[in-house]
Amino acid sequence: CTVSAQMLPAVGSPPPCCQATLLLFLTQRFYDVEMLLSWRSQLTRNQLQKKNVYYGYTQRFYGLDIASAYFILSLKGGFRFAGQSEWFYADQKGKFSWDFLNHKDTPLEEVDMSYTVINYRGLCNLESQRSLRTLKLRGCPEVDDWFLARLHVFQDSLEELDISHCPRITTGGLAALRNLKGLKRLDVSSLPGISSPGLVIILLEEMLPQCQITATGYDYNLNEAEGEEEEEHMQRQR
Amino acid sequence: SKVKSFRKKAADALPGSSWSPLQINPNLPPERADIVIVGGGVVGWSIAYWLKQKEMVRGGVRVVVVEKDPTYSQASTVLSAGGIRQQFSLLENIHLSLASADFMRNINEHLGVLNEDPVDLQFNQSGYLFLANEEVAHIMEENYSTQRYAGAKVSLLSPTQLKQKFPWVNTDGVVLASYGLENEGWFDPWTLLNAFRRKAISMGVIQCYGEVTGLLRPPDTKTEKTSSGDTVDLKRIGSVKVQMPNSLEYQPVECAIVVNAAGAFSGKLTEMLGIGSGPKDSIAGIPLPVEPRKRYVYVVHCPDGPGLDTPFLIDYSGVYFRREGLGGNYIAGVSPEEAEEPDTSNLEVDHQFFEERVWPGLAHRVPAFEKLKVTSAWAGFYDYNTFDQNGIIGIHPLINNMYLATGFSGHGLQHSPAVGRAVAELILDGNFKTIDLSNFSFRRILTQEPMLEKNIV
Repeated sequence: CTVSAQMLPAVGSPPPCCQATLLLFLTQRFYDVEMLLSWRSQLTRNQLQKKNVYYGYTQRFYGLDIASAYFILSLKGGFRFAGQSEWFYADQKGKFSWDFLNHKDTPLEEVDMSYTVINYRGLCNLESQRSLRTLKLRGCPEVDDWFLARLHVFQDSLEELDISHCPRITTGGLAALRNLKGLKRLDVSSLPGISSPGLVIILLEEMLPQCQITATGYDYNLNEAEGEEEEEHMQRQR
Repeated sequence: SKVKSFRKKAADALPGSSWSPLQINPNLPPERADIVIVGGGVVGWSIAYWLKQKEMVRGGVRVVVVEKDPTYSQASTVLSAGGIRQQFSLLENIHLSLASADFMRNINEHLGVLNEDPVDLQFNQSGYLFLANEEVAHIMEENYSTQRYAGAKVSLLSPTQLKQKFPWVNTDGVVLASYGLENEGWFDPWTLLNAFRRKAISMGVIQCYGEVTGLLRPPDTKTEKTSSGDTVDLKRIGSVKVQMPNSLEYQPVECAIVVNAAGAFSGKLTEMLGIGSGPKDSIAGIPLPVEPRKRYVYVVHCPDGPGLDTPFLIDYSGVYFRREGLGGNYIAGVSPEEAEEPDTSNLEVDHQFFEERVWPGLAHRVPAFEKLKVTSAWAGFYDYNTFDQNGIIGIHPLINNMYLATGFSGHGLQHSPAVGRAVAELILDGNFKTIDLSNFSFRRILTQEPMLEKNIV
């Protein structure tokens, strides 16, 4: 505390504003702040795990399909039953209609979990749907390579997979798609985790020959062109 | 200015200042510690992390990890091929692999440090593929049922299914194949080691670079007598003598528990206490059966080789290979026969070995590999357990406070998170709590009951 008194601004300068005094106060309590930040990250992680918890109670009383449907709706996703043509969605606030309870024991055929926080543990609620044809996971922040490896449970039925804009997927995870032999359409656009997208897309096409792969949103220009442009720009400035 | 510096030095030397002409080497370990872990590889740091993770009170145990070589030039961890698989025949090994894969899946939850970059293991989820011929197909089927029972996601493939899935494989001689669907692949061992190390140091583990040159007895050692009147020398480690690198300076670290995680060099540590040099038919006469064995790994480049879905293929002849990166590079090797074990005094690579033993097997199994070029190679040590090639985990019967966690014979890296947790449970809780590894204790060496893996290789 005596050190900070010496560090305070010298005589003659204006007194520090609230923000500066707050920061100086916090610098004395480094370990407390570190503890608070780690508690906050622990809290966000716990909330995420709570969202992706195993819906065992629902499974026991309502059956596997209703449990999967309920899970999808609670995470603000959408799905379509096999044999039906209407989609069941939850709106932005999380409200959904309970009509899906009328369709007992119908498996799910298409699932749209785009922009939801589903992760590996949440996938255990969907594993029972062995006749799943379409799975959309566009922009999911928690879908990573281990999630993709788990998708092997759908290897017989899955025909369409959309994993574009997922920040955590890397090349090692795309190798896990080798098991999905029935895949017909795959969307891997704009994956920030892949370092050399052109090469990876070619290797994916070789690995899954019957699959139509969509891969937009990548800059396939050579880096040399960018370097030349920068040099010209520098020369013009001189 | 010379006068000025002289005056400053004289003023410093006066009583009341903290300057002293004798400077203590800051790299010395502390004089006292609770647990000294000998060996700074992935197993040693995993044990250090789990000890800190499980302690009930902050600062409850003072852990020091002693590593001989800061460059890790001979350490098995960093020279490993980095694969993890669940395809074992012993239930304990399968459980260890599953637990380690679970750990790696949630690695940022376990080893994430605040305000530092997240850990990226670069895990390739490509699976392992074992090929069996007629003689060993029944072993593979038995192992498959054990693996499924334990919860590993493995599938069996017939030769036609194999050819359909991997058209580049020559299914000549193959009767059955075992393919891992999930939790199998390879990753970067250096990242895992550094993640453990960074997290453990952030939790207060003390890292020390030095070599353990002696294990000293505590001052109040007693000797026991057996019923027939012979004296049994119960050894107990009182302090560990740690010598600084390239120096004669040493520091005896007084400790309560020593963990032997020295990998390929674990045998030398127990020799310091006389284990192995007692009378032939006594416990003291049985040395720790862990010795270094050299294994070669060759990096080859083949432009027409298998693509992104290449698994870690292990043939029944012992030849293995896996993809490395995206540019058509592969890593290949083979386990040599007992008779042709290479010399372990150095880590020099024998390129003739590739021509004679590895290439024919590779070219037979994958015809595209007939045209390949060896770009690089390296050699590393296995901490080879000469008794049954599985890890030794537990207290040594004669040395009452030395815990062994060594002898994994090539599986140390993939089991390291789970083994670290098991040893921490043994030390802090007294028993195994999550995975029961009592079958891997030193007892099996005394009773001569090997826990052999029924491998096809």
